[in-house]
Amino acid sequence: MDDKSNVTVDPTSSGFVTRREFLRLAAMTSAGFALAVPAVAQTTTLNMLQWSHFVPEGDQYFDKWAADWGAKNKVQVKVEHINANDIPARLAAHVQAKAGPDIVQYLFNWAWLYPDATVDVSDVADKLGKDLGGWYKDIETYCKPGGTWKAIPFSFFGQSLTYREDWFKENNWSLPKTFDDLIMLAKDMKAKGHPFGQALGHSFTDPRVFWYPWLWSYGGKEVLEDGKTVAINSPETLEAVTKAVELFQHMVPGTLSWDDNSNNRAFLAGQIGATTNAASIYFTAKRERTQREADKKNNPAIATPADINHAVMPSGKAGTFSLQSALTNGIMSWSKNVSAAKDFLAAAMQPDVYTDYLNTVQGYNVGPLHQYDDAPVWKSDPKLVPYLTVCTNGSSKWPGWPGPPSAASSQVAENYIIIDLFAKACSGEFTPKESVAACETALKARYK
Amino acid sequence: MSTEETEQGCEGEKSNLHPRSYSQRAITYDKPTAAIFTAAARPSLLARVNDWLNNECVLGYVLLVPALALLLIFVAYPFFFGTYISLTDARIGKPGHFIGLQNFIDLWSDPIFRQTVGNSFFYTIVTTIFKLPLGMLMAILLNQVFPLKRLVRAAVLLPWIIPTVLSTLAWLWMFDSTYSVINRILKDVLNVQGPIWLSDSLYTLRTTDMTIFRLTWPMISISMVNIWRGAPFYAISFLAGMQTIPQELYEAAVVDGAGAWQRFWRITLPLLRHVIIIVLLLSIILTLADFQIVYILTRGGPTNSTHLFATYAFQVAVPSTDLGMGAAISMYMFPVLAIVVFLTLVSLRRED
Repeated sequence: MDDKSNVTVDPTSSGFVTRREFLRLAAMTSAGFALAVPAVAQTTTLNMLQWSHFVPEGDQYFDKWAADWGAKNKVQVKVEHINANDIPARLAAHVQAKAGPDIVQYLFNWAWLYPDATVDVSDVADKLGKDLGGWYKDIETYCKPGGTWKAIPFSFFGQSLTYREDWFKENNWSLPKTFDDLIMLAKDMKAKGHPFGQALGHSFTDPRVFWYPWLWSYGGKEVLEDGKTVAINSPETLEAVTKAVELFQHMVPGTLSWDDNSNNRAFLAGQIGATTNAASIYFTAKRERTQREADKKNNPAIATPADINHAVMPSGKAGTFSLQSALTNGIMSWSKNVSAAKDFLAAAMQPDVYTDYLNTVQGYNVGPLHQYDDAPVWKSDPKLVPYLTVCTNGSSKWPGWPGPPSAASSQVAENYIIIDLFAKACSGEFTPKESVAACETALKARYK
Repeated sequence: MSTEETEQGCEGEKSNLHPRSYSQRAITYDKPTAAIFTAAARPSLLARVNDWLNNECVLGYVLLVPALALLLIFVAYPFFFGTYISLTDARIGKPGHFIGLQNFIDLWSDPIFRQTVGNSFFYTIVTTIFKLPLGMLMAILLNQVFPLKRLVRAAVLLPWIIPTVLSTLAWLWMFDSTYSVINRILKDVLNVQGPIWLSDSLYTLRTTDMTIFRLTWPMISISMVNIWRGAPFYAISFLAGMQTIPQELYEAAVVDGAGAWQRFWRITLPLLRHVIIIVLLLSIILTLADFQIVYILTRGGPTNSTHLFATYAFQVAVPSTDLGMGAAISMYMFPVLAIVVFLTLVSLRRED
């Protein structure tokens, strides 16, 4: 009765009060919503963030295997695939928020960028290494910031010169032994309308795997062995940049804006005759074999699998170098299921699974453990062998070489400072000398 | 029963008007009324909240709370937090230390930042120079009577309505170095070799030892997309403004012998002045702070030559993990925008 009387309407103007009642109710309801604590369901899940594989079958295989493993071990495994160029930003956001997926796929040396964000996985990594023939040294350095395993290697994806064998035969071109040979070759290739093309943009793999070895082959280094003293300002670097400008003039136009997909498209369309790339161009051509062979009758520039072959990277006067892209997996420090994550990643590397996976991706990925050097996939197609050779021949180094990997060298790589050393001279923004000086300033800001 | 209700009703009303003199007035009532009144003075919690909300003064603020909370959470908090971060050397995953204005000072020796400032002004000024007359022209044309008028008016707004990321992705394909449909058309129709849109340099002004100014196709490309997207916004705003201009003014002008140009210059433009100023203000703020077009088309490349404040702030703060520096870059936008807003408001006021 009392309550009711207090809610009673104002008898003088009931219309106004009805509206007020409504507003009051609205205010109270929204306050109620704000106070309500959402209920969260608790289940054992393992969330994994990784790239979209350049070979889609690779993702399909991995996701299915992950789901099967989860069903067997009573863990719900969710794998999210995003564009590799978007992972750094996502990872940074997760690290800052200290929340996100349990496992994040790293590229190259990211373990050094956020060593505190991942848990120590030495137990799993050491056991896998002992059981399966040992890890490759370069991928091991990527994963051990401060000497502790902070990520578990998953695979390389090798980088080789991908070229049009039909055009090479037609024009009597021989494979370049050195980068100087490549410049001469590129000149002739452009003259014949089948130019060389290599990305000079900001993208995660193709620009790095070509221009880092280019710098090293001419004797240029970003730092000395101590990993601290910036050593980019040298006659060797200047030569590397000057030669890069020369190569750029003979390349297909537009590579300053290229990302990792651009050379695949240009090659498959018959616009370029050679590029440095992972095996994805060849793989796409194989997948589209029937269509491509039919199209080739009308347009001889179209690349069919038979036209494509691969070769190891050229050398330079300072030696033979390459940079092999590495995929590794970090178990994040905020994960509540660390032991499940460790089991999951260890299971993925076991021969029964991994050999099958290598077959599925047909040579795109290369095993990081020596046991997989003899994987059947490498006997299935001789055209793929260079992708294994570049990993086994010891040419592969890491960003920041000859210094050890470090947070600074990772930041240099993530800021594309070495790529821009070449790109700024090639675009005409700087002379080679100015570009080296600008690069030195940028490096010193990172290695301080 | 009926007396009680009336009395209570009166009481409720009175207590609304004079809530503070409540207990004092209670003394003056005779006994039965006072008893009822005391019962009402100690009601349940819900009833008391109800009573409290009946006060317009209180209810007004309560209703303001959601909007204020949204402003505080999504505008004020990020702004002050951003300001604080910009004064620290915070990195992703690591708390920072207070370093004063060091980030702001360091930025001036960063050549990429200096170029970013230049780019941002170039982008904002050049696109506005194109968007304003284009928008005006479109508005004048759309203000005529023609068949399918409504349909065309709606269609003109499309570039502004479509999510920018999606339309920019379409532009990305049109600018592609291998498959550019624009270059294909240029080649097939005009037999002209188009530029590599997102890569080529058009013009470089340099002394023997430094570059003073570079005009590149990537900068032109992002500006083109911005003009394409932004002009309809100008057009529709101007069109709305034009429709509020009384027709009699034009009729009177015609009687006085004014031509089309004079009518536009003497009637349309002066009466649109307010709209033009406000549209310019909004457009300059949105353009200077643009992120999506650049991020999708060039990611700031090639060689960091197309960054605007927002994209460079993002690149430095997130992928390069330097949060403090990134926040400082975006803070540089603030004084610029504050000046623009101030000048606009001053010119609006002078009009009044």
